[in-house]
Amino acid sequence: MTPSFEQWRRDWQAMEEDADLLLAAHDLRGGRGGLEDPSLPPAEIYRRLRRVALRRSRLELGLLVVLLAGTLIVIERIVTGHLTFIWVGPLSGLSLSLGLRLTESRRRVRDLDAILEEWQSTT
Amino acid sequence: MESVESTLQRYRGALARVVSSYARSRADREDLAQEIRLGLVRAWPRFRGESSERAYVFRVAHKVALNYAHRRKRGRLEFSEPEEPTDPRPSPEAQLAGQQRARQLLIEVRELRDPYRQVAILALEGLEPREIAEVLGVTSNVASVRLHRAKAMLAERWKETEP
Repeated sequence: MTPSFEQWRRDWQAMEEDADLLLAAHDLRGGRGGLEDPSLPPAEIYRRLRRVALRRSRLELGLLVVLLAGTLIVIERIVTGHLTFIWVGPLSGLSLSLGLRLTESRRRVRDLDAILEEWQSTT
Repeated sequence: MESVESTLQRYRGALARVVSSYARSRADREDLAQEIRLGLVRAWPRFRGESSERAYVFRVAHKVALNYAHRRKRGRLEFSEPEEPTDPRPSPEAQLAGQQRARQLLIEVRELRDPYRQVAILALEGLEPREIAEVLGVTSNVASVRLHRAKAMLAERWKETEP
């Protein structure tokens, strides 16, 4: 039997999603001095989030460079007749997606920079 | 005005449910949660009290979540691990049944198209059509019609998936 919307609403609101997701990136969470520590000043939270975002964007940049190098090698192999064109599709798709991820990570670092700047100017 | 940190603390449960309604895997949920947090921090100084605080928080969260979902759709590539099952904690039977209904409901909500998903989430969080209209920037009539359709779609999907 289909429950009433009221019933759904009660079930929904009782659903305990991982609310700590909002606190921080997973590798920074928990413990004293971690991001769940209520005594941690907000500016420090954002500084740590920025560090994580920056590390991630560097990692993505590194991967992208490796992927592009791989693509060049594959293109060279195609031109010389050792490989077929079929390899170009997945590689370029992967590079594009990774590029989009990198753009997002860079944007997040910029957002965090702006937040920290605002913080500094108001304190 | 209250600080954004205490507002985040107060709405963390509801915001976590918004996150789960738009992102499936753990990595994506973490990403989106951070985006929402940043979005709220940036938007908070612009809150002038024209709408309720709750409506403002949901408006920002849904805007960020929709943008995120669209970007993900464009990118297509999922580096993230597949959705993981929730670890069921020991609980009384009734509570377990409620949790199972809620998980099933979450799956159905995720399948709705964006306009209906938005109203469904907001109504499930207890917002009235007038408040939903405020959050989405539409008239109360439009919000009511969308809500009516969203409820019908959920009920239909529920019937289809029922064992």
